[in-house]
Amino acid sequence: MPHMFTSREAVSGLLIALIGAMFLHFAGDLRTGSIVQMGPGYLPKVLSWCLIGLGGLILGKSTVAVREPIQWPSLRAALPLLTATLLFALLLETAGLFITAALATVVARLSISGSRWFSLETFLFAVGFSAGCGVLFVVLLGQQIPLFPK
Amino acid sequence: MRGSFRRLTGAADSAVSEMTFEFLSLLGSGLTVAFTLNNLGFALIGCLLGTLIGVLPGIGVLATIAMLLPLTVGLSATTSMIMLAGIYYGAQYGGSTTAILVNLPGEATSVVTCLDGYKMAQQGRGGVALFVAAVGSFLAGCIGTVIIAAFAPPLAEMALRFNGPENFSLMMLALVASALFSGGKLLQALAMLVLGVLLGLVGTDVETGTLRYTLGLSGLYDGVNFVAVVMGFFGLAEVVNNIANPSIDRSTTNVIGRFWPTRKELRQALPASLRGTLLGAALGVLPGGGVVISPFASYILEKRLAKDPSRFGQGAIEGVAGPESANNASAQTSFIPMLTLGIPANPVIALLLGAMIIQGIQPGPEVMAKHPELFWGLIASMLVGNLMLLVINLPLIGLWVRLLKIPYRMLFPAVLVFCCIGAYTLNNATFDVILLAVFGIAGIVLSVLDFPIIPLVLGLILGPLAEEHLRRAMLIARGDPMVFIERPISAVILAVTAIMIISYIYIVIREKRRFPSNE
Repeated sequence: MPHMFTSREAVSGLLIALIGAMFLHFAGDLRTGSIVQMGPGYLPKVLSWCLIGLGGLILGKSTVAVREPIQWPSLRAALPLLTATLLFALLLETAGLFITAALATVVARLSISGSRWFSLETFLFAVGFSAGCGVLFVVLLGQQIPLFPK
Repeated sequence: MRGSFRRLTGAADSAVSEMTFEFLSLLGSGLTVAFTLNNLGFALIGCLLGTLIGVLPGIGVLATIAMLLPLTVGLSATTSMIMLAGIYYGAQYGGSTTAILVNLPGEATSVVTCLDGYKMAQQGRGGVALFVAAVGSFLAGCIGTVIIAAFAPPLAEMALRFNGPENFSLMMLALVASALFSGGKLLQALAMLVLGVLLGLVGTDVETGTLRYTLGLSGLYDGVNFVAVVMGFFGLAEVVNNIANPSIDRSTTNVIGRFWPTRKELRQALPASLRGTLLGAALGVLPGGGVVISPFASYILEKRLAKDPSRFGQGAIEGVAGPESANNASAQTSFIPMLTLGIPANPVIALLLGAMIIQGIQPGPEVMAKHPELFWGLIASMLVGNLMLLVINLPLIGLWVRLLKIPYRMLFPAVLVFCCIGAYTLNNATFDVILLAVFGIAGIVLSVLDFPIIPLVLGLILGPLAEEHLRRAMLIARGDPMVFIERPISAVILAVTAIMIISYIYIVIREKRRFPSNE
């Protein structure tokens, strides 16, 4: 059985309360107004408190419920995919779709266990796939995406 | 001919026949829209794509529609809706193929089909299971379409008279329902709902022009990009979960066998299919998880009704026919709240609603009067689309099975790059791709902690609208919350909401008494 504060419910409750507190903090400058004339801050503040309250309730339940451990997915699966996404965001407008899509494909493939950094199959697939993307989205569908490096 | 006319001379009869005639002529005009070469073509593309992603596990309807959303800008509103809807109900067909032949749900709605469908395939009756699933889906799709056509117009007419209080009550109903029917724990679902509404408030406040929660990022001035959120949650996070928990075996070793069911099998399947259709049609209208719940509900119903419940799980044909009809019927009727009230019943419909807004059409009760070609064209295309799907799925089954052999190491990078391109092209902004990554991480964390995602997505969509209606209602009533109870329609809607909450609590308490050790 996991420790009281590392069980799934406890972490969930803390997380929700924390998010609520964050939303409350950033709503600080917004005018609240009254119930008749609601300002932009009225609903955000009410809902932030709701979130804090719900977080507290979930946390409270964790003290009586059966504590379940948290099972995180392996970083090996998550990290390459997230890196590939960020890489895509950072490179697209300077390097163009061909290079970016191919690179993202290579990086994303690392998330699958047993795949190596580089192999002929990876290379051929990445090049073929990014060329296909370019033809499909830019040439055929006319999307405004830069294809080549500036 | 003449005799039948004479019999319709009574006043009531002629009123009914007039309505029937109007209904048929509207449906007829819809068919002329659906049957243009362009619309037929895009309906076929939608159905093919839907079947494809339905068959492939790890890529869902939501991510696909989100990816295609930016591409629909160039099409007419009607055509793009026809194509996107085709993806949605096409996936319901495709999902069952994987469930039956590989014991892997291609979509969340075909989880139940694995139970008896796969058993049937192991017994060499895979062809019959596929046939019953496809024909049951077709039947349900047709009946569901007729239900939309019959119920949507009067509902929209009623909704035209709604004002701030009614609209706000309606949104409360939708939001509460989405939390109750999410299938998750109630507190967690409510937390997701509130978080969704808060995320929906990000951006420029419509009423005052104040910037809220933008953190100084100009990419957030127009609000959080909904497509990026959906693709982060349902595209990226799903791919990560799929890789982290790889399915054991995707090979199909079973023979498909004959398609035609025996007379006995047909006698078992047909009533189950009809019951599933009605159950699914009713559940589909509910905001939240109606579409996901309906196959489970149908399976339980069939098991209760069966003379010999022990057959279930051993290849009972009702266990395939009922749930498969239910999920298709509910997918069909889940269009009703959007087309009549402008309220999405689930995240897929919310994306379709987004597609309408991109096209400059405000979803709601006015759609039917202002854009009859869209409404009736879409409905007629569903009839055509279901017919196409029957052809796509039965004779061509071998093709789809072969697609299952695409290895994950190619499928998932491709899905990821498609998600990135989709997020980028909506506003041509790399900021939205970063947002995709952020919500991908959020999606992983939330699914690990067992938070249901659907309430968040509905909160995100409905939140800003609900705020607007709440402000309007409070202004009308000078801050008196009694306005929601004093106005009859609003009171009825709130009463329904209350009944839903009470019956939910009642069921939970009863279950707890029955299994007290479950605490």
